[in-house]
Amino acid sequence: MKAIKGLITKDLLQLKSYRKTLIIFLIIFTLVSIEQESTNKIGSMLAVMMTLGFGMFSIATFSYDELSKAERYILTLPVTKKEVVLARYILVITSTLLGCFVGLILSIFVSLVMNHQLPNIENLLSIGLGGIFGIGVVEAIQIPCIYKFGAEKGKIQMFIITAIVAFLFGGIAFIGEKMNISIAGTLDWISNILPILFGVMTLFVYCVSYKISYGIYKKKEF
Amino acid sequence: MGNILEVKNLCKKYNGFELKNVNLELPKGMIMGLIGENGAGKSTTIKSILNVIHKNAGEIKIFDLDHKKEEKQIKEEIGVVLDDSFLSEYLTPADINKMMKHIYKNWDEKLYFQYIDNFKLPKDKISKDYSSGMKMKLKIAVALSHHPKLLILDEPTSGLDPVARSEMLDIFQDFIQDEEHSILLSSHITSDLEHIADYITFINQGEIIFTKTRDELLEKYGIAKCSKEEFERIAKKDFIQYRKNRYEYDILIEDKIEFQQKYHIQVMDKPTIEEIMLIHIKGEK
Repeated sequence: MKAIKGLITKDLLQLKSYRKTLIIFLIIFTLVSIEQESTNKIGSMLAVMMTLGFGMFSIATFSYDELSKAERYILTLPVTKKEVVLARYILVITSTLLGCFVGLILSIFVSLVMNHQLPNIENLLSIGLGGIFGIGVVEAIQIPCIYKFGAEKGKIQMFIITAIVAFLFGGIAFIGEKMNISIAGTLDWISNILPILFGVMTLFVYCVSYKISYGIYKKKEF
Repeated sequence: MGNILEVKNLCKKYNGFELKNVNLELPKGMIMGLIGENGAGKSTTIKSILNVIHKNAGEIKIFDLDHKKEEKQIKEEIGVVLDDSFLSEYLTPADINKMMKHIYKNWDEKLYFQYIDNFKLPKDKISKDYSSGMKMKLKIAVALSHHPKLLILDEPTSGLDPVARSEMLDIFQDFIQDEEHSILLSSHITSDLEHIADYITFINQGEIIFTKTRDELLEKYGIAKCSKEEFERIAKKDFIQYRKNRYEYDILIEDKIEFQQKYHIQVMDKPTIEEIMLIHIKGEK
């Protein structure tokens, strides 16, 4: 566990140079959200954008290591390949959760200042969890792609795979609609278990993604 | 005196390159220099020892432990400098300390900053702004600051000016003084190895050509300079390789005294490690 702490410390220290960009990102999206009319829209915009932004910032650490060819050196340290991959996942997942938390806090703050009312917390949490799941799926695809193709080359593959997954989900919805399977009808009972469902599904996609990433990394030579 | 590192019949195959049955034995308290031209297999050997590439065959033992099964335990006790790989250049020496104290059980913060001060490296400046010599000094400081027993150094003096190189060589000499520590280092600067290495291992096209003590190479080996007529009366078995120059032949001899007694060649030079390597690579038999 100590080695994982060291690896995460390295990544966090590398991200120091993103401080200014992160602050600008926070300001811009907070300002844009002020333009939204309803508290719900403020909530969804801030929660989703912050989750996405924080998650993407943490993924940037892959590029740092790739650019300085650090991967080989890191493996000469007393760390296992499992710890290297695990540290990355812990960082990305924690950043995504932190992004969601910051987004929720900001949306409460903006709603209070602009509309003088508290947003619907239950609704806000559902949006946040939905955002985490959606972004979690993108990250779960992106990380194994980076391990397989590299941080720079992996971007194209990641885009293609994400598009395929999006088409797949869209296709399922389209077929469901054509076959008269009412998604709206099922939503009532789904909405009751939605937070748990999102939580379990997010955990599942990250676990599968970790297994794939570790499988790729284990075989890789540096 | 036991061996700190043992490599037996190491094989690694790539497309167009093969490391063939590499054998190495590095005793405690010794420095071994790995020499050879670019692409000869020095880095592949080092990478195999460090298990950052998967070997095809062979056995590697460090501190008498299998380098794969006991990898983490071994890596706690080795310090590594790689020519082409280090941590991100956006980290400062102070950042590296924050990271390494979680990585190594024996990380010595005080010793690390002592090296940083001695090497005159700014603590809070990212290494991107360092000169290549400063970057190398930082790598060496990190490699030494967890009290390793074995140093594995890939081109550790490249990019350093003569003063800094001499400073580093002194540090390496001090490192092995207690007879318990050893160093395996590859270097293009063979004159550095002439100063510090106890053993020289020459690798060419993926094969070990020889492992000899430095004294054996520098004192026993010779380069005989002779005419065409003199060359023609020398038996092939009595020399290693020769190189034909414009007016004379340079013949690499393994035992210059024995050779001189047999052939009475007047001009016999004391070779440098670089000359030995060059005649091996460029010469003929």
